[in-house]
Amino acid sequence: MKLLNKINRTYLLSSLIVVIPGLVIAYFLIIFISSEETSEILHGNEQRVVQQIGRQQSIPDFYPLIDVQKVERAHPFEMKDTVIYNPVSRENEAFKEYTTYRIIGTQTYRITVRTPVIEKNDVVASLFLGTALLFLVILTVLYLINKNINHSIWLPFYSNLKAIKSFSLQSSEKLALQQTDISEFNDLNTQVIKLTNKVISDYNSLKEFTENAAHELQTPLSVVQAKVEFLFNQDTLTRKEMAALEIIMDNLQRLRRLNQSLLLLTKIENAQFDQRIPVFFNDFIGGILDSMKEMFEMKNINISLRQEGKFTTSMDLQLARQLISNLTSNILRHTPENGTAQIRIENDKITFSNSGTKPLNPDRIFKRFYKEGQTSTSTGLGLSIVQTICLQNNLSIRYHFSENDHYFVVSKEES
Amino acid sequence: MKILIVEDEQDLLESMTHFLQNEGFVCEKAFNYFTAEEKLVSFDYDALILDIGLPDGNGLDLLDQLKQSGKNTGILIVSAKNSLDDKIKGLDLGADDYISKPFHLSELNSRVRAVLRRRKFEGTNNIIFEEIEINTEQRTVSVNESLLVLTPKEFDLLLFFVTNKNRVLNRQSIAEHLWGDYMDTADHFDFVYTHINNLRKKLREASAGDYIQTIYGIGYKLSQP
Repeated sequence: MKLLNKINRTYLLSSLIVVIPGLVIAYFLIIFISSEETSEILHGNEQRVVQQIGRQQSIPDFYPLIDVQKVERAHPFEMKDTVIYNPVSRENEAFKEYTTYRIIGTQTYRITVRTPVIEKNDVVASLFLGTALLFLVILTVLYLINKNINHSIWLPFYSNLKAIKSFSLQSSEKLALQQTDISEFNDLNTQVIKLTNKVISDYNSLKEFTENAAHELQTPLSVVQAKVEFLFNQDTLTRKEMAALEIIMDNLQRLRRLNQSLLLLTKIENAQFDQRIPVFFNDFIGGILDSMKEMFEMKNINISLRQEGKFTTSMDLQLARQLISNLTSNILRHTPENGTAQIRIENDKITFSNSGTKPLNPDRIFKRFYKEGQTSTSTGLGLSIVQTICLQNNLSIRYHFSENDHYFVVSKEES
Repeated sequence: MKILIVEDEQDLLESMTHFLQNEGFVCEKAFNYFTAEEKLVSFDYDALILDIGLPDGNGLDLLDQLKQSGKNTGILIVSAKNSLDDKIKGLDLGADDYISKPFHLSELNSRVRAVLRRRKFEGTNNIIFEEIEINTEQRTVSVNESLLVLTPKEFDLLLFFVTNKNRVLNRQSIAEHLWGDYMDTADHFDFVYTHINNLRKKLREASAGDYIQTIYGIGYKLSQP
């Protein structure tokens, strides 16, 4: 619900609460005043009738408004409500009736004057009708005002909202917000600008850190590696020392690969690969497969490439190659010897499948540093990189296991 | 052969210099942009090994100057960033090759020699080791003047051994030399082992001497008798 509608609804509800007792009071007031008014009119009419009888000796007769009868003796006056059938309108009508007994000359008269009174149902109906009309008018006016306010007062708010929505850390543009004469909006603008500036500066220092980390870590790694290689070439080494050096070297390589993969992952997350071009996957998948062909042969894995369609999407070519080579290495690493594997390209997806024994946990395989089994030489980042690349490029990656085959499917995300 | 090594990390500079001196190169050192620029202006070098991330300047600017001076110097760029941008820029500015940190010294040696071959010895692309003759341009090998048929990987392996003769090559550096960064897999030592066995077998069948020694637990070494 929009803020303005919420406020209006509250206003309308609270005015209803006030109006309903008001209506009751108004009803009783109207009844009371009209009753007083009627009594006065009846007294006046009675006086006129008495005067006329006195002056002209004639008896006026306007039934049912004035009704004069000669009577034997007087009674006390009487004021009451009554209903009389009106032959003209053919319905019963409510009247107020005032009856007095007067002695004019020697004759006693019974004078009855009547006047029609407002019917209570009519009062109630007209009160409600009037109020309802009033509310209708208020609603219409509010609607018109809202429309106008939306166009004037809320316009800067909506244009700022649009600016915030389209704000991106990757673009170097700073957030520019429209100023208004409404202090709440301006407060909000100031805070949002402060916040985004902070985010931008944090993001930049993170990027800077990533680049520095590359340099700062790679260089000491180079030094250590060079020194270990130097030691390798000493003739005086014992077997034990050599074995220790080899372990140092192995772990150095793992560290190096880990560092490179982490950097790659961070760079992808920072969207530093932004050279988007139309990428034709069919063009290079064969090449990547060829470069790993002998490794597949050595494990005696029968891998086939089926091109049943053309898979094309807009992304960074380097990332596209990384995606394919990671998924292909994944097959190479996890297919048992003498197994089979297949890469199938269709128009909307690429499927990497290979033989296996038991399903993997689809919730965990894309997590960082998750390793299936004891292949401790892998970094545990390959599939995370795959997932991150997919996320950044409107692709989806899904895993399933059926009939003793693992399936990794890269497909275009419906947008 | 005279080489200028530009590297701001002193320890690494020493290691590289020491290694390449043992390989028979005359090495000069520069640990910042200023010294490197001065040396490049004053002397001629056959090859330049250049770390482009220097504290007092961008190594790529040195490339530009060198290119303008028209000197025939083989250039190998070293970068810690492993970024494609640097690589493309460097190669555009006339560098011959690119290697990213951290690298194996044997790999560095092999790359430097490849750069020197490309730059200097046009027509003399033959490397001779005992009875084995390698033509790097046509990528052929002959033993006692009869042609030996090798797969591309076996050829690369033999060339890597010959350029780093009498040095222990660990399995990591061999795997990386042959497969580059694709070798992020578990079983690469087996691949290295298989390739080396095949190469040895072919050399033996061509009645070349068995020069490749296995160094237990570490790797292999091609020794001159």
